[in-house]
Amino acid sequence: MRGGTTKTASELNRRERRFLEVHNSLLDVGRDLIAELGEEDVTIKMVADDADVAQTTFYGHFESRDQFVQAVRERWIERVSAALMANVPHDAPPYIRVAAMTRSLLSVVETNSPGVRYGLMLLDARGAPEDPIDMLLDEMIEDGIRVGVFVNLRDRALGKAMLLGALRLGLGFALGRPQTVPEIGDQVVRHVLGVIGTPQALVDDAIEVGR
Amino acid sequence: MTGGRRERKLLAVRSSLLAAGRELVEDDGSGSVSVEAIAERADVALGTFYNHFDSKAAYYDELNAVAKQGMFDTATKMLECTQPPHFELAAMCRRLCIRAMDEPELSSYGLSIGDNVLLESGPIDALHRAVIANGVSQGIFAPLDDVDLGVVMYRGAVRDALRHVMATAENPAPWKNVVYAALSLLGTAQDDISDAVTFAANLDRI
Repeated sequence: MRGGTTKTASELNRRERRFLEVHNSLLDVGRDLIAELGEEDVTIKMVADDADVAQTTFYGHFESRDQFVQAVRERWIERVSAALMANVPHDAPPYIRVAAMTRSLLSVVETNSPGVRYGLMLLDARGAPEDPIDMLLDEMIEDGIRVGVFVNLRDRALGKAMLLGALRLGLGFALGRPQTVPEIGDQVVRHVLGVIGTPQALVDDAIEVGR
Repeated sequence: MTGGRRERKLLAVRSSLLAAGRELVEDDGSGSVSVEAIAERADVALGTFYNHFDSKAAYYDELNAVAKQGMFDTATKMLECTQPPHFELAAMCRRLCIRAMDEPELSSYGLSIGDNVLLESGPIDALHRAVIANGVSQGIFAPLDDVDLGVVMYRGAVRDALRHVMATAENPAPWKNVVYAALSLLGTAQDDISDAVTFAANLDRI
């Protein structure tokens, strides 16, 4: 991002504030368009139109469509990383961390904040090596196998793929009825831990801790 | 076959248009192909296309309906409906994995239709729902507060298992591992899972 990003909002002059406003609005609009149409089908014209700026203004902020799509992606990843850093205790046992990650993502869905649909799309797209959920899961599954927690997990890569598939559709289900998240949260955690072979007693334990 | 020669001819053109669309979507992967391309593949004039379908949207509606019906028929055949629920699911997993290896194009087309963030519930969900609800009431699967949520997460896990199987192209397909994870998701006891795997492994008709 260009401009004085290290200054607080009140220190920026009017011009700089306006620049930031437009910048963020382009990113918001792009994120929602991508969630609706997919990364391939969103054009710069659509983004500029929806953000109510000229296309030349767009190029004042981003060099290309690719760079823009990447910026949208990075901003969302930063946001999810920050939420996961704050909500997933580093030193807890791996199965407790998997449960905390699941609950943290569910709470994002519950508030139905802007970008949730985009996040679900990204979760399904995969292939993004910098994806914080993917990286965190690798680490947790690795730790869990090392300390012998996921005793019934037979194939690590397959288990992770199946966990992500179940998680994404579970989050999609919750997105359709966010008011039920407090009631269905335990069950989502149960399925997520189940699919990677966590013994029943530990699943119960993780649900108890989450309450 | 009912109708005269003319009706049969019309039906044949209609099904060749639908077949052309399915092939093109499989090749292209984007889920949307132009009407011109479809007509060309089916070797008919553009005007003929519009004699059969009012619009591209109407065409795709029918294409998806046909595909869903096909998936439903396949899924119905895959379920025994005479076995305990965990046996049924294990058999289904084995069949899906083998199919994913044998017919990757068809399977990936089916998977892309099955995708829907908002989860409009389809015929395969209805079949799974009956089997899973049955297993919960028999105490084979863990009690579920919301059976629909269980069905949806089970489907997500199996769907991504199939994607993984297709991507890694491991032959023979590691279907037993899929069964272990899928049944564990439903809180099935280890002994019951082992029994279900044994049952599925001994199936003659795949």
